[in-house]
Amino acid sequence: MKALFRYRLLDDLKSLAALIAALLLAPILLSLMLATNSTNSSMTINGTGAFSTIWALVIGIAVLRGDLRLGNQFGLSRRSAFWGSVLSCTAAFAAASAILSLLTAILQVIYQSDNSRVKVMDIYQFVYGNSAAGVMPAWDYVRMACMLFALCLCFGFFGMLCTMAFWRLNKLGKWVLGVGMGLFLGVGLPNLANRLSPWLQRPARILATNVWALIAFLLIWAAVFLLGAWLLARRAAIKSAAK
Amino acid sequence: MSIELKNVTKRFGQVEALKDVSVTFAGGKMCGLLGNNGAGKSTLMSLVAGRIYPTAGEILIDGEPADSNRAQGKLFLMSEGNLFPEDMKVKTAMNLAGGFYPGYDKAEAEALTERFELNAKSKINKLSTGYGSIFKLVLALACNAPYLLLDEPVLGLDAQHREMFYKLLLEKYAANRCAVIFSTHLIYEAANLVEHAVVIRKGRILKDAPVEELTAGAYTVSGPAAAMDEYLLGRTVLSESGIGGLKTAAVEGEPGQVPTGLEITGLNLQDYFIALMEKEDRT
Repeated sequence: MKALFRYRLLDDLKSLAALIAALLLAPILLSLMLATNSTNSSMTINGTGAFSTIWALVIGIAVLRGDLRLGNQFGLSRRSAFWGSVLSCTAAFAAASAILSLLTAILQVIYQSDNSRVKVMDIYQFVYGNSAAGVMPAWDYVRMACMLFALCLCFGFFGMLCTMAFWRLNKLGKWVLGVGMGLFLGVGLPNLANRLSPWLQRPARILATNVWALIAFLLIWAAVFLLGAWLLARRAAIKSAAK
Repeated sequence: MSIELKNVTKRFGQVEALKDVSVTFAGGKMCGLLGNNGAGKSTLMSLVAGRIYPTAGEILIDGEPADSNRAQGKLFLMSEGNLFPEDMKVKTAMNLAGGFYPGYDKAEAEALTERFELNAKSKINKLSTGYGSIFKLVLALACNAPYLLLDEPVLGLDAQHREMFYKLLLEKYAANRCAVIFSTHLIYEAANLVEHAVVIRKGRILKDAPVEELTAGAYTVSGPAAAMDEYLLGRTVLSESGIGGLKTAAVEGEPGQVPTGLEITGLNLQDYFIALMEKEDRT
């Protein structure tokens, strides 16, 4: 399992490096754009939370099948290959959360002057911090990293669940799931939230005011998605990828 | 030391690919797994390698369940399908293998790569059919796993590479006494390698015996048709063919008293297999 863990972690960290490079480039490009702009406009960058979540979702979708195949080819049991993949992604998500929180802090320090027309923010700051403050207290960045980690786990394992579901289904099932998911997320879920809003207001307020409650909520869902992914993976037929 | 399948059945929807199969592949032996297309050879190997799970029955490797880490770590399955990531290069896979198989010999892998003229910088999915097979064969030979499962290992290989592979496999077998389970349609070529043969047909084991026993237990008889018809009465005829007034038949059992005019010759493994399949087709 160690060999698979190392291989997958290194691969995930390469994609993380690309994400970090893009996030570093964004404020630089924006500064240059604003410098050439004679008006007094300013811009806010709010990205680390959203981007890391999407990155984690893509990682989850992309890696699990490949790791199960590679693990089987090299004599790993199904369980070891699955956990090797999950643990390496978890380590990558932890690294991403820590690095991106630190990156946000550094960029906020760089762009904190009154003259700066670029403002760097994150979803954590919007919801739980003081969005006007710029640089947050150090402990907030720690909480932000924990929140990002929980978000990455939740979305990453959701990605794993989706990829395993699509792997196990036949053609018709894939169509039904794909269309069904789209309809549920786009139409069903908002409608459901609307109907249940009287009962959802209190829990939503708790989640919006207490980051640890949100983290616990995300971790519970992460565990549910992971269990679903394992139940689908444990007896899946390992075949070569379709060309 | 062995791989045991106990009452294994595998269904794919309505299709029963393996039916109540019980067979033991002993350690330290080179075994040929022979059968027609669709007989269940690849299914059997995939079950042992944990790629699919049996509908019923159990599979043990050295007494442990086949899906355990310790069991899986003892075998390497070389099959037609490519389980490596699309963008992985040959060299990367060879470097990675050492982390999974404790006995992996990287120097041997490099030497074999050179010998087969395999391009180590190429991406695995860009290799031709033949070189794809060669790549997997190099890994199989270099990993030094106690059990090698080779499903159509010479697919796409030219005659020279096939000869090279057979020689290397024999050398590996002599050095390590690993167990080799070898499925191939080129029975004539493999006959010189295998000591034991398991013949599978329509998901059932037809024969499971040393090659010598199978071929010694059958023979070819040929001669004038009338004399042949008389001779063959009461005997287990595997296959028969005739041209003009002459007939040739493959027969199971001992030749016994052979009438004048009839000629008896031994049966090689391929001819035995073909004769056996023809007999099964008739029943």
